Amino acid sequence: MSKSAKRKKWALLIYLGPAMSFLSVFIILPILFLLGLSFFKWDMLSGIYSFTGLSNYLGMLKDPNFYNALGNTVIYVLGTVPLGMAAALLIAVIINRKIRAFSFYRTAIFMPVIVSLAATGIIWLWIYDYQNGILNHILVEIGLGKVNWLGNPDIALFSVMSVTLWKRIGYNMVIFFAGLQVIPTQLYEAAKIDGARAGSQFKYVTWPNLLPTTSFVLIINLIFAFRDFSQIYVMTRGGPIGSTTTLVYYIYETAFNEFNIGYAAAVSMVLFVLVMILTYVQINYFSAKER
Amino acid sequence: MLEVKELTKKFKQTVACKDINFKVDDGEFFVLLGPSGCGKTTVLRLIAGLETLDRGNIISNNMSLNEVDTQDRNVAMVFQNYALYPNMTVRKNLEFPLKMRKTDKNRIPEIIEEIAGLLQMAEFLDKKAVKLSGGQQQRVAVGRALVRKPEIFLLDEPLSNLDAKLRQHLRVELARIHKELNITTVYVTHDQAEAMTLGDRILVLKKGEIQQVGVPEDIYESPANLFVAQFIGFPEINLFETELREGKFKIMGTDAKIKKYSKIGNKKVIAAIRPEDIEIIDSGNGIQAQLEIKEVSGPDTILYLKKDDKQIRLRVSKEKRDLIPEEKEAVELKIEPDKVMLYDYESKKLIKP
Amino acid sequence: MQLPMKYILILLIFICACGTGDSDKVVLKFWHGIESPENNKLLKQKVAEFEKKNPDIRIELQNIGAQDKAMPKIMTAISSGEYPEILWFAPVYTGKIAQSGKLLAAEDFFDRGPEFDKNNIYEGLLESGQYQGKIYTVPFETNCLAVYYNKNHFKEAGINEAPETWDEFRQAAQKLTVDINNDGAPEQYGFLIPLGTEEWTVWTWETFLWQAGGSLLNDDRTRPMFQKQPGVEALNYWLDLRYKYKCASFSARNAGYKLDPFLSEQVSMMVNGPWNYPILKDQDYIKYGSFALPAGDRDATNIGGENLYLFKTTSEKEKAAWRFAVYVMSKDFQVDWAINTGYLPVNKKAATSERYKQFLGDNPFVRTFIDSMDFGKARPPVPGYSRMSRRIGEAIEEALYRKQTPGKALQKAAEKTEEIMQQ
Repeated sequence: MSKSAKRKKWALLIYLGPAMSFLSVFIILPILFLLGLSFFKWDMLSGIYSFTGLSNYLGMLKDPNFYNALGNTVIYVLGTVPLGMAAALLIAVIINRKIRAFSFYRTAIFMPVIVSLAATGIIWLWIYDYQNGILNHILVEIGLGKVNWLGNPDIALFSVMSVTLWKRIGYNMVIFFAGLQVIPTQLYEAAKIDGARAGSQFKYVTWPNLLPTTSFVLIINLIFAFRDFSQIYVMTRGGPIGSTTTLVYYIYETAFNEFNIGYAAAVSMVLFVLVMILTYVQINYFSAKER
Repeated sequence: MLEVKELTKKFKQTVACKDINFKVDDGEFFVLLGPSGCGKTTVLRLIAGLETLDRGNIISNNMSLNEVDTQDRNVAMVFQNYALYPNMTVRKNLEFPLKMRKTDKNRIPEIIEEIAGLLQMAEFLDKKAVKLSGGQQQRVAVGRALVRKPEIFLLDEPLSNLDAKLRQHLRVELARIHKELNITTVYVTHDQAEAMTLGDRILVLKKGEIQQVGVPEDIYESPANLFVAQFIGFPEINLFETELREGKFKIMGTDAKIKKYSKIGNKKVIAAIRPEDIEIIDSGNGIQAQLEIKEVSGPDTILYLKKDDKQIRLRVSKEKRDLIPEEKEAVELKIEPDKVMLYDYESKKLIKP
Repeated sequence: MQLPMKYILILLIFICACGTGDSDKVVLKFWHGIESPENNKLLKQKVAEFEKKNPDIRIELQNIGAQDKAMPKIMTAISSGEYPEILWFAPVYTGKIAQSGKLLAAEDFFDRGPEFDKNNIYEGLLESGQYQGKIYTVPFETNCLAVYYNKNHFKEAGINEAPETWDEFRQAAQKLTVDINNDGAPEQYGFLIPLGTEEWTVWTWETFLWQAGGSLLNDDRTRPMFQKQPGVEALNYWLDLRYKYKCASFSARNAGYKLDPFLSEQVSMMVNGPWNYPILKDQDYIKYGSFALPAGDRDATNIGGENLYLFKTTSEKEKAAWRFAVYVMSKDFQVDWAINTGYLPVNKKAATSERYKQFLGDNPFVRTFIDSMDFGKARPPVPGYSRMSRRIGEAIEEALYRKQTPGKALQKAAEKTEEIMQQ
């Protein structure tokens, strides 16, 4: 190894060192610990644990609650991510066209982002309230019946998803907005001159130039969607009859209400692998596209 | 034929252009020339429909374009920074206007071949636009504009981002292409050399107002006002304040007389003479001045002289080079009065006999 | 620059002085989840009195939030060794926490001195803190469930006597259900069914289970019994109130204890405890009262309240903690606490004291609860109770949503309970 290469290696270590050690202490080690835990049965209170091999994983295969949570998670992810991104993109494009006139709306739409998820949940709990909630109040005023937004097991998951969308759209919009600002206006003018109307301008100028942003937003949104917990905890606690229990909430329930730590660890590992695979596929897909 | 009538555009309080009138004949190469910020690009963008006009009329083939969307105006434009679609290959860039205008799909490859041949782009047709050099990008931009044979071809300072040699080269190229395709062209530049070499006619703009429209020779030889006179030509034209009396006036301390001005009443004027119209002589009875600096400019030599604390600029051709003395030495000059142009002191306009 | 430095020094000395002054005190952390501000104030006051009498002890109060939600925090604290000396918590978790081996058996202290006499404490309450036949936790306060009712609604409906049986109760609820605008959605319901899967729902339902003659577990507390016929009857009774007779509405999920529907007069009757008496006392617009839960096969109510959990620490701290527990169970504390909070005294002498008797005379609302204690039962404090309760809660919810018949839902919960019991 040449002297400069050696020096480079040292520099690399020095620069990456702090981040790497932070990552390993707070992220990688806990994941490894969790992986280990998933092969044990552990009673948190007494501290007694026993190695049970794959039985946590095998138990999962026979656990209807796990499938229920997995199903809810799929619905939750598919329901919030594409819609949240599409709506955010649409708003960002509209705002980007008439930037000054829309600065009020930009603030209004971003507002939910800075409110904590738990607080958001409490606000919506009030909005959704069956008896006294503002939403049902409006429905009754316009002559429609009341809807049991959070109490009806067929609707509750969608009510929670709406809150997530309400919050996430603002976040996505800001990132899309930043991405849009980087696209030179001359490209749009050139496209206009070449005969492209709004639709084609979006397809040939906005969309391809926004691809790196979109890819980032998609990954972030997927991870968010898989991890969302607070709004469920605050609003429905996974119910009614498990209709809003996602994998993350199921993990929480299993670990901290049932104290079935090993099993919760096993479900966590499944979730972890799921998110890893999705992220990997996406990164590959988008970097191939950009090439 | 493109006709522009009373074109006026304001941006908030700033007037970008005001009462612009001109006609461009079919196949003519028309140049909008002026210093930066004079409103020439605005005029071009108004023709393209990228800006909405406050007042006036844009007429193409006897039809007003005012209410026509950019997309529907048969106008193509080359932008100063090319504005190629960075994610597309050169071929895709060239195909784009054809696709947008629903050209028959089977004909597209043929059209692309043709334009690629014309602009010598064949070897980089399948490269991504962002990976090209400046000159190549310039060709693609021109190609993308011409590929659909527009009625009007607009160019906004297309050569200003290139280095001098490439600029020269592409200038010739542009002239050749224009001859070949014969498309009505409006070309915006701040470079007088480009304007002179490319333009069939030139429109000179200053602060949004027309100064002069004419063929390059007219613009050079009889600038309509002092601004045009000073803006065109290198080195800058020589100006002398003087009094006109019965066709006679004093210039550089000697008397001169121009017959054609004899009928004009006495008034304060500015006499203007191009640097190449002052001759160096060695007869001994010419005008005396002192040589300050000499610069070689190709075949010619540019001289900066001093006479009565005033700078005088000269362009001396190769044949007379032997007469140039060393710097700081005395020079003897002669003026041909017929080459002197007189401008009204007040209005700064050319006095026409 | 010199002046601030001086102040800092003085401040430092002051802090040190305080520190040393405190260091010879035994400091006890006391975790509780008392929610109402008035009760918190009273607790602070009573603790101050204790500290005055016991200058060598300092109690550090820490509120850990609502009980239903505090379990994870307590469990994590115990498993990580960061637990307090004293914990205020529902007695039913005694078994679960005692299993950790970190809990003191209060019974070991009973004979340490004359200041505590076990015979003064209600026996049933002491049993509620048992684990493997030994008393681990001791009662802090107690309560049970009865029915709140809206007196005006009763008058309007022409009901003059409190219903005493399930049938009478159902009929009353029907009469109390009023659809003013005849849109099929009554503005006023007779009864409020506590919807949810959490302990409140289960706690309430257990009274109906017992009234129907059922029980949660068999006699040696090893196998579930709630899925038997009485359990199905109890669940069906709720379902009928809701769907067949349409005279009961559901509470918001896991909020069956909240008074809002009752205070806004949307329901005429709800099951609740005596502790709301300080709140209700201040509502002058609503005329409220209470009566004992209706009898099915028999009378029954569910005894609740909170116990003191004392944890193994140093013998000095353990002794101090026991002294505090004795203080809490004393006649004086109990009378003060009961009169001000509406909770019921755990000490017989307090319950029979003149002051308390007079209080009950003035407050028939609270008397209902005291009287109900006669047929009160406590939940079995087995280690698996909380998990069993959750399974029952899920079964109740599934049945109330008619996703499952009561029989099948309870059967499923019973099967899971079998697994829990075996662990």
